Amino acid sequence: MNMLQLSSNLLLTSFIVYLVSTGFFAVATSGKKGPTRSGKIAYTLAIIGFLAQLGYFFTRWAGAGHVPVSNLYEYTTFFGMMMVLGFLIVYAIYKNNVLGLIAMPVALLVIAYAAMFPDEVQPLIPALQSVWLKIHVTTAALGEGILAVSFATGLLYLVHATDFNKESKTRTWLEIVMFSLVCVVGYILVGLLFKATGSASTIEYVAKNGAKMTHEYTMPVLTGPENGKVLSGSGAVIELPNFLNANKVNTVLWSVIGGVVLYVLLRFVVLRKRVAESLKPIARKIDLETADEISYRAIAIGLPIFILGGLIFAMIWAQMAWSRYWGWDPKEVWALITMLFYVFYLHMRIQRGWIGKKSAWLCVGGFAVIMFNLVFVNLVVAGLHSYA
Amino acid sequence: MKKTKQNPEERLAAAQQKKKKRSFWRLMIMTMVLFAGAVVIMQFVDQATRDKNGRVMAGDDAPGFALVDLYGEKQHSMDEYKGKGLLLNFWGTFCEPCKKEMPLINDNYKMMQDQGVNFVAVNVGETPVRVSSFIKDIGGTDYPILMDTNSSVEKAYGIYNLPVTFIINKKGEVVEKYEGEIDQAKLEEMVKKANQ
Amino acid sequence: MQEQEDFKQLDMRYEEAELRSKRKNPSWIDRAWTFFSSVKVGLWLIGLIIIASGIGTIFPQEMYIPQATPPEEFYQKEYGTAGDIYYTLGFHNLFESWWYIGLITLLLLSIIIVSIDRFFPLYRALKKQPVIQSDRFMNGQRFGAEATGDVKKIDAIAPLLEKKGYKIRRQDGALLAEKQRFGRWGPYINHIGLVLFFGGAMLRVVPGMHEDELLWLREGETLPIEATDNKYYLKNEAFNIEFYDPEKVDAKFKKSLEAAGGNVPKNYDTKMTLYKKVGETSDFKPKLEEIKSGETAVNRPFEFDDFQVFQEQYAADPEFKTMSFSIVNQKTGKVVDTIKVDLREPKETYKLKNGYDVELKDFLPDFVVKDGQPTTNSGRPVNPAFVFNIKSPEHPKGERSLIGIKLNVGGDENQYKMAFAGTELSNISGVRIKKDLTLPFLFAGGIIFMAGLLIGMYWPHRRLWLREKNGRIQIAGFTNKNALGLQKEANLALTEVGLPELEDRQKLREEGEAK
Repeated sequence: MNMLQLSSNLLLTSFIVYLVSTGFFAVATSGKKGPTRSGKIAYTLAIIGFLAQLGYFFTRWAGAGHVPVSNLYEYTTFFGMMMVLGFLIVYAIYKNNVLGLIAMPVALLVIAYAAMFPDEVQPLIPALQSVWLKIHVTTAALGEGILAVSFATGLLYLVHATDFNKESKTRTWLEIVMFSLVCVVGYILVGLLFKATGSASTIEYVAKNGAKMTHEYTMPVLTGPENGKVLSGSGAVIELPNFLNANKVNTVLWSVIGGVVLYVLLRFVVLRKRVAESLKPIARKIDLETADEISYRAIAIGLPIFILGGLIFAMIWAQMAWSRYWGWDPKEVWALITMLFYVFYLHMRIQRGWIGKKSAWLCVGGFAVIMFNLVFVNLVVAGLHSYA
Repeated sequence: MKKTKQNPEERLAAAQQKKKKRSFWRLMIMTMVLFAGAVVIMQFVDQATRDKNGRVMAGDDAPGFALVDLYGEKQHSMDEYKGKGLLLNFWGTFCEPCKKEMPLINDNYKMMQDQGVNFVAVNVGETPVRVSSFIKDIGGTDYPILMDTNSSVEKAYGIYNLPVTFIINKKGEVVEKYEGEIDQAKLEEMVKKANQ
Repeated sequence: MQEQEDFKQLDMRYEEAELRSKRKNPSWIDRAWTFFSSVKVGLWLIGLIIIASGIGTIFPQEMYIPQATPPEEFYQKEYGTAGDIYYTLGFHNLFESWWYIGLITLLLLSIIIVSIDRFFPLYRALKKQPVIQSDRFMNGQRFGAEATGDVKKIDAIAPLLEKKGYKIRRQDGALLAEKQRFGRWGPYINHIGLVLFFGGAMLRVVPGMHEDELLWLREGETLPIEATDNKYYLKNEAFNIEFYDPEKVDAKFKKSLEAAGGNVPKNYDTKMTLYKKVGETSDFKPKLEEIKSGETAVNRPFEFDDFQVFQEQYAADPEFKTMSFSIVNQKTGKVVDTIKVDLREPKETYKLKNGYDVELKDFLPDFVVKDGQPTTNSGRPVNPAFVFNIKSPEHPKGERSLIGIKLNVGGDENQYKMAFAGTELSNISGVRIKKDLTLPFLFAGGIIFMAGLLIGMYWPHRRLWLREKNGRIQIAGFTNKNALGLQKEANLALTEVGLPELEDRQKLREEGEAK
């Protein structure tokens, strides 16, 4: 038990250190170009935070008795850690502080998102008891983490290259990307808020197959199941047909509400301009060519690692555990889609000369695919991988 | 490549020869890949038209079997019925329609044999104690009762409902799969079909 | 400056070689070939496959839906109208549909044709590269420089470059230094791996390459393996299952185990023996010869020949295997003897001590009373009942009774009764027997794929051309990856012999345009 307590303390430590590091990156970019003193401090802090999180990883491993990548909480946390690692590697090559100011907050967001899942250690079902759990999951997450760096630089490129005074598709879509990120923040804040106020409800309903099921709400109930019976807490405002999971719809609704509130605050009260536009002074500090090159490099490093971990090792393990190397399980299909998407990117870039803006959009799109696989496929499309 | 002096005609002929060869290889490669794809598609189409649980249906070749009769006296196998029509019936003592149809089948057994059609009834993996007690109750049968002790023939045919009778023609193909109790008319129709 | 703004980089991807697909007077074969030799077509196919695959994950595929409900009802019931449309359009079997396989086949064709069309011209062009290149070529390279100097400088740089691993060719004073040409083959190696992988996967349709069978084995049962043409038999010696224990051993998992509700299996495995059929006994039973014994567990398959036996599932509830009875003389209360009835192979008579006999007149595995008659509901031993006839010296014809669970008809009135004396249960293990001879192809394909990817990405092909012309030395540099690496390497050598560093002409032009 002590190990696990130590482990969660280390995770919290690393989270705070990452935050401070982000602050120093902000200071570093507000000054001149290039590695300044605060940039060095920020990078050192990021490394310390990473070591602390590594400590979390291994102490939790020791405490649980198995590698902590076996449920959504653990996997998402690890993915955040790999994003930090990916950033650390790229920073070591390019020494770019601006990148830190984007990559670290995204990693923080992912780790905070992980904290929304139940964090108890779970036992491994027999299918997961294999060395390939370590090999497959960690390699895949590392690949995705490095690929995520290309999202940060792609975003910087787009903000830099966009003229926000003129109406354009890029301007609109960039704002949509920013809004989705704000919604994730909204989801986390709303989740924390309702955890603190304790607004849990339980509603019983009759499922399609006739069995009695219950929805355990952690947020105030907006959408409930058809003919639901309130066992505790509040009742639903709107009843949904039962082929929709009313609880999940409720969570999504709250995240969007939180996101909208936050966005409106940012856009009209705090920043008084487009959220993407407010990044412009930062983004301008990275030259377009460097941003483009980092994106490409990150994909050149990340993609082989992802293919190895997310597809090849995955197939070897699937052959051993489930007797078939490929079964068109949603998670498998989305790993394939991720690979195809980046393969598309590489060919477009090398064969058809897509560099710059188009290429940057593909980097953002690739990250969207990765996040879709992490969030939606696990939570909405149930398959063999939804262990959480 | 050696460069020898060629006249224009020779060069043209050589170029055409080369072009032909190239076209041949191009065609070969495209055909082979598309053929491989087509084979895979056909496999899946074939699977879709067939039952997904591997049940034997009309038009399939009847899977072979070699089963011993209730009294352990004789082994009956698919081979001995080759070239003759065969009605392959699956039944269980717990199946009411099976119980009802058995006396009728027994009464017609001689007629069937006269017409060159055999009838065997495969019990679906029950114990000899149970089956012999049951057969005694209904007064015995002239046709062989085969014991599918480890249910392997049942598995091969993909049996779900009882009774079920497969009408197998002289070539060993399943002409029809009939689920349900057999009556006199159906039996006569079956004999005719098996003889075709 | 003038020169830099005019700079137009040569397309060096295929060394300016003419791609094979461009031909005069194309026949229909050539037209089809040309169509697929376009990378654009391949990218379209990738895009379509991405979209199609995404659609395939909206609702579960047919293979993942519960078997109890037929698919035509399932999608409608579960997902409403959207589900109905999904089913009607055939998306419930999307990955096995003719058009999805068709898309993959076309992509495969595209990969093959694109590679052939580009590899051979590139190979020939690189094989017979001239050392002395034209001005157009030298000035068309992205990296280059010019300075006054004579051939001696070129002579001096040769050993320096050689030390860096470059292969040097000289002709009339000009120099061509080249390294890692192999890196150019990366994409083609990668594509070969991919084709091998898909080809291997397609080989599955060849008879004998792939066998797949689910076998349900009760403990103690020996069954033939159909996938081996019944040549091999498998016996389940014992099935073992262990659950996580939230109270003691696995207390750290208590919270999540409670949240999961119900038992979470920790491990399950089957001890088994493999037999080979070597003949038949006189009563038509298979003669078996033991081959090997072992264990199969999840992630640890049992292997023989080309086959693997996977522990896949198990029946939730064990089944009755044997039942034991004592024959009791009700007058004296003495137990005459005990018999054990194997429910799978009950005997007709059980010989006892002292001239007693028990006849099993009937065995009803799933006892029920229908129309006043005792009968059985199924063949499975769910609720076994027995009709016994006990022959004793006092009753040579025997006394009949019907015995079952909480059932005793006629037993009490007789002198001898059958008293229940225990039962044995057996678990049922579901093992999957699998043979897949295509796996080596897939494995090789995967390795070649990765090797090609790494070679193509991390094995930059680098070349330097140096040429003396009218007292000036022209320098041109080429690399297909990592421009900085080439510049670093070349500049070190160039400056050492007093030549200028390589300029990135493309960058200069862009900066010129920007000004």
